[in-house]
Amino acid sequence: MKHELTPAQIAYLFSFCRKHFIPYYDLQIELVAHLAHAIEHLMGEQPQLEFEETLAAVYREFGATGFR
Amino acid sequence: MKKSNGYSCLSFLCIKILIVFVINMKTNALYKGCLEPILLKLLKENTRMYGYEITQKVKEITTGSLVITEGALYPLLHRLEGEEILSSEIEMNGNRPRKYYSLTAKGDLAEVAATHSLSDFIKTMNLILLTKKA
Repeated sequence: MKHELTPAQIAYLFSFCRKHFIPYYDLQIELVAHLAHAIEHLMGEQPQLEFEETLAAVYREFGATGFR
Repeated sequence: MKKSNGYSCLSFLCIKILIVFVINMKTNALYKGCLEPILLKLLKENTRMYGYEITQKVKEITTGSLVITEGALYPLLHRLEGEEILSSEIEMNGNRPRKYYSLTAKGDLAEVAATHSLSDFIKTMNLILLTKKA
């Protein structure tokens, strides 16, 4: 089942990028789109998952240095 | 005695995990140099794509054998955009913006050159791997 993130969750992802030292808006757009897709995919497959824990799991895929 | 068996089982498991890790690492290292031609070819075939779509497409085509990591893909996309091989445009998609990449005219030429280079590389590797001892 397709899970779609809410506008508030998308806004949270933008603030997540800023908190992780991504100041450039075009880069934020790209990373938010990536995170949102991956989160929606996982939450669609496993509806019991919470948004924030799924975000943490997806962010781990970026490796030990995160967005850096 | 029982304890020692436990330890040997554990060390066997550790060695097995290490071997799998090394094999994956080596395979990934082999793929690393091929990332640019793969990306250019995908963009040539699909006209325009966004980052997540590229990672999923590669996973789908190679049935999971090749996974492009985010840490490798985005720096490459940005470098190619800086070299004017790719151009990008941002569009709204549902409740969020999305950045699409496509090949420029320079990118079309780079795709042909990169595909030839990769194809030559594969031929050379086959020469080494398939040559039988006289």
